Amino acid sequence: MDKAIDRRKDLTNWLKRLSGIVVLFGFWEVLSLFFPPVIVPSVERVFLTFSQLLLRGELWLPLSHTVTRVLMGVGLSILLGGGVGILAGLVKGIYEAIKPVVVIIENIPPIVWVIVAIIWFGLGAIPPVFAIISLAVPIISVHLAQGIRDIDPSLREMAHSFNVKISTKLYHLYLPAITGTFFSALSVGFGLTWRVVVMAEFFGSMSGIGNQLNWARFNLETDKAFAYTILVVSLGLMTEYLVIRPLQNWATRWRIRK
Amino acid sequence: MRTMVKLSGVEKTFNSLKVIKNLNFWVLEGEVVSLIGLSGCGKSTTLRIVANLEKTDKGTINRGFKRLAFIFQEPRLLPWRTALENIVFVLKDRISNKIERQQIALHYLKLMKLDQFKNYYPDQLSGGMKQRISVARALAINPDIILMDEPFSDLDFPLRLLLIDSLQEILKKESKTAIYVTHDIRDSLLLSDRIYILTTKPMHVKEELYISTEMKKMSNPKFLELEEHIINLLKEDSLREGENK
Repeated sequence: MDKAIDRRKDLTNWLKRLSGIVVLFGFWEVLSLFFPPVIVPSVERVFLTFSQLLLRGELWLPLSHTVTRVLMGVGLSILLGGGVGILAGLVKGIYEAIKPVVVIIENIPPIVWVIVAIIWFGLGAIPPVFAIISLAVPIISVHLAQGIRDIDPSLREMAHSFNVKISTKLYHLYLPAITGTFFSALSVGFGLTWRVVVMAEFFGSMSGIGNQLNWARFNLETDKAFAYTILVVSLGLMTEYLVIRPLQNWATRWRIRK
Repeated sequence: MRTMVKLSGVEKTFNSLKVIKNLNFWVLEGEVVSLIGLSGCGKSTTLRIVANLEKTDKGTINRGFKRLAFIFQEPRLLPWRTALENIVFVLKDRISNKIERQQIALHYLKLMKLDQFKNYYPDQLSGGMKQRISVARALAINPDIILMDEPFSDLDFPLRLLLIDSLQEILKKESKTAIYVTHDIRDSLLLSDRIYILTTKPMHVKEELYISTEMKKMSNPKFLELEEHIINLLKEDSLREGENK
C-alpha cells in the first residue's frame, strides 16, 4: 500500500519536472515564431542541426577536446584540492590560514583566470585547464576540510582511546566520513567546470566546444550555437546522473541498507 | 598482585568549578572495580583521566597497564563499516596478518553471540547488538584494563542483565582488570569485586566496599542489604546536594 503511494508520488513529481521542461521548450518555440532563425532558431531546427552534426561526426573532435580538458582539470583539482583540504581538515592552523585565501579566490570572476592564463601560457589547452583548477581547487579543499572538521568527535575519541595510528584513521575513519562531502563538492565543481571550460575555450583555445561556439558566433550560425549548448547541458546532466550520483550511492551504501 | 591504576590526590576543575577534589583510589590486576555515584558527579571524568583523554589539575596517576580498551556509553561504531570490520579496525595496527585479525574479530563476535551478524552495518542492528559489538571490540585487543563508562545504561533491564552475565563470565575467565562507572547499584553489585562510593561536588571517595562472589547473587539477602546501604549513602548525598541548591 505504502509502496503504491510512494510510486504515485514519484510519478507526480516526475510529471511536474517534465511539465517545467515542456513550458521552457514551448516558450522557446513561441519566441522563434516572432524572430528570424538567426536570432531565435526554432526547437526542431536546433535539434535537426544537432543530429546533423552528430551524424556527420563533427561533434566528436571538439567534444573529445573539451572532455579531456575537463577530466585533466578535475583530476588535478582533486589531487591538489584533496591534499590541501585533508591537511586543512587535520591542522586547525592551516584551516584558518586558507579560509581567507579561498574567499578571495572564490570572488575572482572566472574570466580573470582565463585572461591571466592566456597571458601566461598563450592560446591552447592550458587556459581551460588552468581556469578549471582555479575554480575547483578552492571548492574541493574547503568542502573536504569542513567535512573532516565535522567528523563526529566521539568517533575520533574512540579511535584515539584505542591508540589507532593516523594512517588507519585516515583510511577507515576520515575518508569514509567525508565521502558525502567529497561527492557534493565534486557535483558543484563539475557543474561549474562545464560552464567555465566552454568560456575558456571560447576565448583562449583553438579547439573544443567553446571554440566551435566562437565559430558559430563568427558565422552567425545561431542554430549551431544552440546545438552546442544542448551538448554542454547534456554533458553536465550526464556527469551528475550517470557518474557522480551512482558513485555517491555506492560509496555511501551503508546509509541506505536498512 | 600488580597495581594497574593508582590515583593519588587528584583534582579537576571545570570553568572554575571544582569537580574532583583529593580523589584517591587504586585498582589491582584482575579486579573489577566499580565507581558509583550520583549522575554528573564526575565519574566519567575520572575514567577519562585514567584513559588519558582528560588532564588533571593536581595529583598523580600511576598507570601499570600498557593496553587499554574503553567501552563508552554509546557504542561509537563506524557506521560505514560492518560489525566485523569495526572490530578489525582496532586490530589493524596491532596484528599485521589479515586472516588472523579477522579470526580474532570473529571469535569475539561469537562470544557476544553476534557472529551471524558479522556483515551487518550498525544501522541495521539494535542498540543492544551495537553495544555488544563495542564490548567485543574492547575485548579483541586483549587489553590489560577495560574502562566501562555506563555502557548498559541505555538498555532495558533484562538485556542489561544478560550482557552483564556474559561480560562477568568473560572477565573472570580471562582474568581481566576493569573499572566500571555506573549510577546503577545492581549492575555494580553484580559485576564488581570492589566498589567505591563517590560523593558529589567536589567528588571524592566516600566509602569502599568489598564484594565476595556469594554476595553477587541477587537471591542472597546480603546483596539486598548492600544495595540498601548504598542507596542510603547516595540518598544522603542527594539530600545534601538538594540543600546546597
